[in-house]
Amino acid sequence: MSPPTTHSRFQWFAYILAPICLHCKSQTRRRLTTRWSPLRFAPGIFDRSRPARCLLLARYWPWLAGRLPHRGTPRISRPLGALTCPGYACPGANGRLEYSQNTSPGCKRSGEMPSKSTNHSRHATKKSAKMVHTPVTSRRQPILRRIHTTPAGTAADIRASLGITKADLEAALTAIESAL
Amino acid sequence: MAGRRSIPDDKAVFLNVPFDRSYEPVFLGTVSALVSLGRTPRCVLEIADRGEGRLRRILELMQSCRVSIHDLSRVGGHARFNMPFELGLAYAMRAYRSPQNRYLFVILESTPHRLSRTLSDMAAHDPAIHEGTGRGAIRAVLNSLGTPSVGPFPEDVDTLYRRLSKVARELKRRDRTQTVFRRGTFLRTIAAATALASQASLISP
Repeated sequence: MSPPTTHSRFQWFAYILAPICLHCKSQTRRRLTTRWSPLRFAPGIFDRSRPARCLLLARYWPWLAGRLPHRGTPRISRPLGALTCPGYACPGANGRLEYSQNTSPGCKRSGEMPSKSTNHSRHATKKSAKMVHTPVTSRRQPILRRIHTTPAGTAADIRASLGITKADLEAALTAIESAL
Repeated sequence: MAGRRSIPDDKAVFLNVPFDRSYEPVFLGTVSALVSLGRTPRCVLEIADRGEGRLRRILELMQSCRVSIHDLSRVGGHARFNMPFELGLAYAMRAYRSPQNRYLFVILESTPHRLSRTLSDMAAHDPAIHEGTGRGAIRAVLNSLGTPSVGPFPEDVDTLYRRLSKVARELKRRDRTQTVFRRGTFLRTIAAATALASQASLISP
């Protein structure tokens, strides 16, 4: 049994460079914590609570979400089929704008959906509309939209594309007259 | 001819359906729905065979269309393998075309949940069920290609289908054929459908 690892001499420097808890960054180097925790002596708790330095993590501070660099695997798995994880799992990712209800004018223009938590007035700007991540579903939407919004062809268009001659049309009109 | 690529027409819809007499009501319902949507029903029947082979004609037609409709309801005793084969061609075109020219296909079936047994590779695709009737085909096509805000009312298309059925009977009598699946009869049926649809103000003349 090797003794629990201790802090390296330059670990404080890492705190300055990246505001992230090294405990969370490397889950493999787990060590027992001796810090105070309200759940320290709770029965049934088999996983130790995180040390206080985990409070530096950006995910603890909602107003910092997306502003600080985030390292490490998100704890919340992404939905099946989604290319990006939702905003609550990846604070810095644009994917959080994908799972939302309300739209701002700028996002409507690009066909995107900002989240409820985002400031809609800010997202109404052109820049933010560009930054919005393209959802997976919207990639096939333009094709469907084009199919659905293709202006309906006229009767003459249909006949011309099929190469229906005047004689065929007259025969059809005669049949219509006699049948109806 | 070998490498020729035609520009896909957004309004053209390729019909991959069985050409037998019992399928005529479904075919006429499909044609009525497509014409009332302003789409052009394209079919291999419309091109005369000039010795280049039927498959070549089918490929060229599919390349000129954006959407295709595949009916896989002919299963059982006299199974037809043409429709699944052409559905495979459509799937390949969908997979390998550029996103700008993406190909779409609609699968028709007469019985719900049967496709998962007959063609389990297409398990992720929900077929439109027409129940072997013309009205069912109208609902299926309108649901697949129409939009509630822009598309015609199904009742109007039903009326068009009833009138077209009468005209098709008259055309068959005049052409002395048993079925509309002859080149001349097919073209005249489409001409009659466009005339009837413009009379009913479903499309502009």
